Amino acid sequence: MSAWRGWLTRIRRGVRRGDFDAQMAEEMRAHLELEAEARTARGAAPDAARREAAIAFGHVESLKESVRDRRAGQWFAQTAQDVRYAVRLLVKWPTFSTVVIGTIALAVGGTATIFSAFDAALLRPLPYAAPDRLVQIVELLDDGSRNSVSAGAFLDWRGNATRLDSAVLMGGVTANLRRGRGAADRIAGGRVSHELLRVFGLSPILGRGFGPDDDKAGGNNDVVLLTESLWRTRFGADAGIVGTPIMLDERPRTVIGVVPDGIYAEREVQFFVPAVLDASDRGQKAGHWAVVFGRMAPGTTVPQLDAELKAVKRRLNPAYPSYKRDWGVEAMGLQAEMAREARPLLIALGAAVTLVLLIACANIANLLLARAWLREREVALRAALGAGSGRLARQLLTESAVLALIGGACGLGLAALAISALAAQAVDFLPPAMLPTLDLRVAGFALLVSLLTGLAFGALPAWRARRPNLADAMRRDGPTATARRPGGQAALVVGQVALTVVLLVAAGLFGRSLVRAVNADPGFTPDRVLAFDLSLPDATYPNPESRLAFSKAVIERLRAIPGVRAAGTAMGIPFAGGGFGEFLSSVAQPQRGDLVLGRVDYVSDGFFEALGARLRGGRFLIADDNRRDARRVAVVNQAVVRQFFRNTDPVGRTIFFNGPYEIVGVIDDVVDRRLDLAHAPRIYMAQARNPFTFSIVVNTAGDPRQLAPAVRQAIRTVDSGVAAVNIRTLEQARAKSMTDRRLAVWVVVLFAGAALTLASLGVYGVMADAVSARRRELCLRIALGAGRGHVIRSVVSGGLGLAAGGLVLGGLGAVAASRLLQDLLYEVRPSDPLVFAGALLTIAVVAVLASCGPAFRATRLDAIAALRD
Amino acid sequence: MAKDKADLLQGTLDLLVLKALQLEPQHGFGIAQRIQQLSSDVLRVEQGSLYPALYRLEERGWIEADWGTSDNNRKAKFYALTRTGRRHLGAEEASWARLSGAVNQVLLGGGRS
Repeated sequence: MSAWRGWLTRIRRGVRRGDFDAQMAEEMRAHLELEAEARTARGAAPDAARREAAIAFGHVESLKESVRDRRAGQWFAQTAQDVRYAVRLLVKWPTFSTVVIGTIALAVGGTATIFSAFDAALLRPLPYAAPDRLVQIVELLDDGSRNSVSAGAFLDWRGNATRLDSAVLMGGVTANLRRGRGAADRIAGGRVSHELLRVFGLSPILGRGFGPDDDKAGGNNDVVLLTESLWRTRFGADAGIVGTPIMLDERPRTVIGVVPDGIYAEREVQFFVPAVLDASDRGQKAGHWAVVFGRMAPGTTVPQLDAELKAVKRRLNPAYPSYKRDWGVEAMGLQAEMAREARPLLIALGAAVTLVLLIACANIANLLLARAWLREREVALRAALGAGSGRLARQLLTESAVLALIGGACGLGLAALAISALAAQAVDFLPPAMLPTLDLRVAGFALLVSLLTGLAFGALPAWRARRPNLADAMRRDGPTATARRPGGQAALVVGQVALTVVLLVAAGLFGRSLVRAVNADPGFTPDRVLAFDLSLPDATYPNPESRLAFSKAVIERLRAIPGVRAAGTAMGIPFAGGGFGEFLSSVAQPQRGDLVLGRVDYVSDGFFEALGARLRGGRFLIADDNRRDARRVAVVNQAVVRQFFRNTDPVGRTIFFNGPYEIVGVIDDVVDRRLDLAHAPRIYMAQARNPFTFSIVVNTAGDPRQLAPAVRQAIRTVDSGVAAVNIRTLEQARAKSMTDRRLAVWVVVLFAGAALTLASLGVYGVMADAVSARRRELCLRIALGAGRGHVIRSVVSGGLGLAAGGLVLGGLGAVAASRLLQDLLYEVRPSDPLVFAGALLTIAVVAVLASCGPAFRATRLDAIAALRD
Repeated sequence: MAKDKADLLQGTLDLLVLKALQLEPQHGFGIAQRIQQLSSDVLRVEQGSLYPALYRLEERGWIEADWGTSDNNRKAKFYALTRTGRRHLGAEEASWARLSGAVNQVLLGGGRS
């Protein structure tokens, strides 16, 4: 009760501050007069009595201030006053304010941007119900590496694991969607088992999801689910679409529902059809093509599910083919799994941006320290006028906080720009759920970082202000006096230089990796190659013969286009990947150790010529090989030669995969998906053996892009129900395949550049101070005949000395940090001497340049004026 | 250490101020005088402590202030005990008596043995 009244009183006083101050002053005056009168009454002279009363009373203003400090309302009033004062200072020192705010804005903007990526990939829960119960399940090879899932294994898990609430098997399909009489469009979709929506905890927007009947063999399987975006863009958001048929691959399928976008899958998935698993799929534990997602039963942990699945595999082992006896199974939390690839890079970027933030803090702390020194007289004056030391510290902290918050707000603006730029780039390699966005979490983070930096760089000056040395500060005649500035600045700069070394080394290693990766030999000549994808409807091309006939007809038409030099088909196109992962062997009866996971591809005659692949021995495939009844022959890549034939000429020897193939040719390793991945053994067989799916490559005499319309027309002429999509030059594909690496390099190089700028400012500041401090000494030297060169050398060597400490520390730090980056590098050793030498030299040069300004200023010192000071 | 001592003094000063106001309202200077007088000139109250104490007591609601006129017709701020202040004074006096009695007992007892 009384506490409450106390607060009320305090707040009233705070709010009506003017009244209160006046009353207090009045009260003090009354006291002094009463005391003086009492003294006069005791016989003192009136003047003396008044003076004695004043002396007895003590420092009136301190007393007032200490009473004021006690008041809660006053706290607000003082803060408001501090903020006003801080803003006034800000305007009074525009250059200083701009530099500090700009530095904070850069640091906060960078940090918030990286945090948004971090948040999206590692922290933000997946946008599904109870996302912690979502898992991905994979088969494991006997060496422990992951593999796609076979339908048989999926059915074993689904049927036997009690800790699974539901599970879905998902494979990619493409289909030609025909609308009315026009030509078809090719769209991508998913082939899924019926628990799709249950696993992701989603409900359909319209209609229903799949039921057990939809993917049962012999059931009504001609159904389709549309995604919302397909429904809106292609069907005008028609609310009556459920129950109507659409033509997918020339086959009518009834739309049973519309589902939300963003079900985790390949990004462009626009529809789902049931994956019908019949008795043969059930028994078949080979044919690894699917991705499996599961929802765990409530209360189950990932390790529990993992253990149960492994037990199921052991129990059912007799039903698996012999080579899969030692295969395993693994369940992983979906969130962790999605971030697996991005995590090391994000951690590296997070570390880099933290370093930049620290360097920025050090710089601002330095600036504030320097300014605090310049303001020492002002601070001392305020202390003398009755400001308490706590009050002074608080005011300095308020100033830092105001700077930090303004900087933070600008930083958030920068982050907004950077995040949208980042997201635009990352669309190429991140699933939609992991794209960074500027949301409240990121904004909150930015605010927190700005406040923390404000406190971090404001703490030192504020601490020093707690006990101002009044006499010293007042006695000094001005900011340029010869007294030494407070220490601490040099230590901050050494730290900055060290952190910058680490960042420069990281940037150098990343940059060199990128250069190596971009310049890596793709194994063919991509500059005049056009590629595109298509898929043939089951309904009109029900058997291999019809598909092969279509392919041959199209290739023939393409070769007839003027400007086309060669054309051919393949399942796997460079930079897009493709073909099957299969076990290869060089012996007919392989033991376990003889099987090596490689890739197989089916290509037509003309494919190697169209690609510009380089023949190393033997011959390419010819038209005669590409017949249903042709001899079993294969072309292999160099990895096969290395793996199976100990680098001897394999032409005429045999390689086994589902039977023997005679090797007729050897080519240089052609890139699969990325230039920075190792080449797997790869064998190319004739398309006629498996013409189910294929893409087409065309080699042109001129600019390949100009032939795109003619190519499209050629396909349409053969069959208007088949669409050529994703027409691209392989040069474009090559550039795009490095987007993620290039982006990482740019980010790190930007950080390193920022760090270098900040560190050079730091060196400059300290050297400029040193020159001011040594002014008398330098003048004396000049007066005594020291040459310009001597003075410059003396100052610059001081700057180098400062940098040297940082270089040593930073070199050691970089050695440690680069080991952590090892996994992100391509064909560059973490201890690459060129990178280290380059980084150290760069900083040394920058340190010398940064010291040059102060050094030249030193040579122009007016000796007489300086000595007279 | 230093802080404990300050707290003890502060608590004591509060008690003395309340006691000085027990009979009649008084202004700051009067309170200082009265404490000095009651303690036979042993206790001198510094103004630097007195006024913060007065504001503190006012916040707690133990005393209230009003402007009035002093004996020699001077405008001054007069402090008076409130009802809670009076109650608090009673409690404090009792606890002080207990405390000082106990301290005395210890000191005397120590002297005899």
